Amino acid sequence: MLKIKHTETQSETALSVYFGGGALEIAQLAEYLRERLLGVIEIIPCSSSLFIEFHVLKTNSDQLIKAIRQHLLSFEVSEGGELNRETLELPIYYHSEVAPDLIELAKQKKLSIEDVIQIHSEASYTVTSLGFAPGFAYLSGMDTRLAAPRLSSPKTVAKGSLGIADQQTAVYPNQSPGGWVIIGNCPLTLFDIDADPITPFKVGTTVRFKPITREEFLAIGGEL
Amino acid sequence: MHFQDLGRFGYAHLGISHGGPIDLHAHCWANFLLENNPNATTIEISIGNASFLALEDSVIAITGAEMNARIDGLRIQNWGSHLIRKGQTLKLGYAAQGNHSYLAIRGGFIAQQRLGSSATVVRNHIGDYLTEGNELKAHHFSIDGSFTPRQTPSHYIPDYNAVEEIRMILPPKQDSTITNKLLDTSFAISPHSDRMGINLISETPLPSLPGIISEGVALGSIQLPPNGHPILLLNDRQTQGGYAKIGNIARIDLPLLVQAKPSTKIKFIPLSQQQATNEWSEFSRFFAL
Repeated sequence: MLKIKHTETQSETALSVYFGGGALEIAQLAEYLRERLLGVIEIIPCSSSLFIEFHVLKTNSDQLIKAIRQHLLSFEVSEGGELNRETLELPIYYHSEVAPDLIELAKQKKLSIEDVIQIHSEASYTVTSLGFAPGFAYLSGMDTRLAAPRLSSPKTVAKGSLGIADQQTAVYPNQSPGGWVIIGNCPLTLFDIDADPITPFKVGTTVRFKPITREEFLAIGGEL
Repeated sequence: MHFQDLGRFGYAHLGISHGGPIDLHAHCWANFLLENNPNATTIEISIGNASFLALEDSVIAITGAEMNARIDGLRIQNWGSHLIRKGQTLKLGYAAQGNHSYLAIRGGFIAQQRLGSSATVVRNHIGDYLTEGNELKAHHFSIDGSFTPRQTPSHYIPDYNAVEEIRMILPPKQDSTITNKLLDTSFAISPHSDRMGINLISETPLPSLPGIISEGVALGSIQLPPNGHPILLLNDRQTQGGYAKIGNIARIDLPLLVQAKPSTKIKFIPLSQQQATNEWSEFSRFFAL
């Protein structure tokens, strides 16, 4: 059950509602509110809060907070509708030729590269939020044995790069500056503005990674 | 140089940035002078040095940074609308004052719509820079010969060289040590700034604050990374951020901030949430946003 801890006005047109946890429920609430709140421009579910941007001439923070509190009651009664039970399997080429930090990570963790691949690909992950870049899905559920801090300074990360930051993992859908530790590459397109949906990820989606060979990677369209 | 309309809204939960004109005030005036819808596509020209050959008689408007615009060598007024005849050339020099200029055309430029907007967000791989040889088209708007030039009234034209104080909203329960340091410090605008954010530099960095759990970030958010040098988030910002937030630039003052030249020294002045909202409402009403 979600409970509002506090709210904070961020600007003339933005507001955060803090719950202190419950990423999946927050995402469900965001979808529930999307159809119901008036004067709203964006509703962004984050891992422990909801960010709302609104039109200054159509509503205000106080009105919105009041409306959200009311909708939260009916949301709880309706149990928030359908839980997202989609599963996505992503092929990954785990190899230093596409993953500049793989060897170093294994060394730091005193694991073999095979161990890193096995530990990472055996786990089942959940999308907790989307952000940073289009179609960039933060995944929870990584084995703590692989947890690694971000690089001290960001560098250019190739499209499809699979990264680790602390206890999260994610794929960069496009080339981008980034500071995550890169351990593999996914040859699939994970963001296409002209496709429907534009990204296969939704909060709550279960994600699994399947190790593939160099040949498979190239056959699917991966680039070295 | 690229197309912008008001921005791409409703997709931030998928990680897509709003984009939109970095100087909304100048973009809105350019369209207003031509009686265009405020969402009509304009061309945002940064730094300057651009030229356009008219393939048809057109009515255009230029606003924002002073780039000493000329039509066939003759100076034309910034913040004004002008008739350009087929075969004439519009030339913009380097920005003498400000950084970003807007070129609007009566009817608006025709630009590819992606998710309901023509806004270019290069970091999202949506749209691209305009380059030499690109042919620009406008939505049809007949010129009946009765063109009357219009000019933005002078009291609405900012002096981008005089930017010193930027008003901001303080978070309600902020530690006074941080607030005092923020308000006492003189910051320089770093040349390493872009449509994603403006980096500020000060002699003494602000105290380091721990990061927060990633959450949504507003336009104008003042983020404080561990190095103590604030980042002001702009149109092409990421949709979520995990750095501490120590305030938010008043939206009405953002155009001044983005037009201030690199190395300009600025200081922050607190503005009440209510006053900021009132001024932003007035702006939104004026341009029917």
